Amino acid sequence: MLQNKKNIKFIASALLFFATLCSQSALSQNDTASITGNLIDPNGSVITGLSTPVFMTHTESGENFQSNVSLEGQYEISGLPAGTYDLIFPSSCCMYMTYSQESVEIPEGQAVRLDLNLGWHINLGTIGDDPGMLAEDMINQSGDLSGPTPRMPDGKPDFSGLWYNLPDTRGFGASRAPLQPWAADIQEQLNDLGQQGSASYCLPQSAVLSTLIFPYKFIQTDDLIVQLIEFVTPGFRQIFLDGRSRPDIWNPSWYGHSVGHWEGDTLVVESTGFNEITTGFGIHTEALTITERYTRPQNNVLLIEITAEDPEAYTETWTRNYEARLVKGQEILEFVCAEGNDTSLFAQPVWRGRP
Amino acid sequence: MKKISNLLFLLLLSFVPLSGFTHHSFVSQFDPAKEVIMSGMVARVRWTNPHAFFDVVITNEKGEEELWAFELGSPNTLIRYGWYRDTLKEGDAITVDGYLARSGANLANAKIVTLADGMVIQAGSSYLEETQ
Repeated sequence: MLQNKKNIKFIASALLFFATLCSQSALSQNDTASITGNLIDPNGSVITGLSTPVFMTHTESGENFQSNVSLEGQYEISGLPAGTYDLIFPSSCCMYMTYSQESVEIPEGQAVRLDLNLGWHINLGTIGDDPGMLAEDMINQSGDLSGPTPRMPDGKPDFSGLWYNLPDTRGFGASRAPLQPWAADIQEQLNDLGQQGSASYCLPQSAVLSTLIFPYKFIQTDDLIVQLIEFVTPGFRQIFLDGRSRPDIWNPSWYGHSVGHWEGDTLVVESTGFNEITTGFGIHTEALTITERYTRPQNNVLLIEITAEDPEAYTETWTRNYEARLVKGQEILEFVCAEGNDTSLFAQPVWRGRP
Repeated sequence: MKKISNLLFLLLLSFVPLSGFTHHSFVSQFDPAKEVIMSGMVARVRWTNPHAFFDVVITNEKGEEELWAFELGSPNTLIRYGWYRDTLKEGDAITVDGYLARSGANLANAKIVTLADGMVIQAGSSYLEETQ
């Protein structure tokens, strides 16, 4: 591909040279423009380690392009038709704001340079406080872990390993819960309260751990899968594969009750028994059911489809997709969030899942 | 010993929130319109969840010593970037760039730390490469 690009550039250059010699006028060449630049943080430093592409949409045709981003912080898109473009560099929580710029002029045949000066996201550049960038770094450091799907002795896929979700910059999970009017009204009231998120109270951050950007680990046996996760209370969940159903007496809880079964190479996890204030799934009722479908098409790739249903709060089922990558050389570390947490400094002392 | 006594005195009198903090979004606690660059001597590193801190003794314009606290991310993340609890030690001369707390306390987040030997630590993966 690179060689092809070089060839194209060489041919284009030769043609341009020839035409200029012959007619002394610029040759009308299509799709030969390019754009390149660095990702710059508010400190003025080049941002390294991110693999998120820069996306560009040709205003006239609606055609979409995306860049390669080197881990050294440079992006490049070549083969662009002349015209104006809308450019966006989506960034995950919490270090950098998404960068967008409309009406970027790309003259015919020219190489445009545009550095993207990203602003701070909610962590204001604090050292050691960006799970999204950390995930990218840990994935990149792990190198090439591709290979065949590992399997249990009975032939079922083995999901064991330490995983990081890819940062949510490619549209995964971007949609919002399809709330009925009464639920949307409660959500609005909550927003108006301006309350910090549940993480500020060291409370669970999602009813399904696999939606989060923190490292998680699956430990798999024939009849049980345990999911460990860092940075989240209480740091584990259990998925029962032994055919049991939810106990008759069940106290609605933050993570509910999860049972799994196999559909071919897909692990299907069905969870019920959630309380009304568990997070990550919008305003919902205790009727919430969540189905997770896991596949491991190759050694280092985990695909996750999560469908939530709540006929009492949603207008329709809500499906989100995530992708995780296997990470090597890391373990789940202890994180006792409550150790120094004192919400009285500037937040409400009690989590209010409902207004 | 005199130095330590002064530090203890400062610790006792300071309005720095030495024991309490919240697992929060930094922008809710710090003001991005108020960037500060301060130089001083590390007095203490608090290697705590959910966020770590280090305290720095700074001499103000009047020649008086003040104790300031600088807030970092969580120890788990810092460790993965190669920042350990003894990366900064008591007595280290450092310069810190951050944003002031909205509360008016002697508190800021730490976004760039420059050590006496010129090494610069800042958010992002560049720090990872420099320290490994």
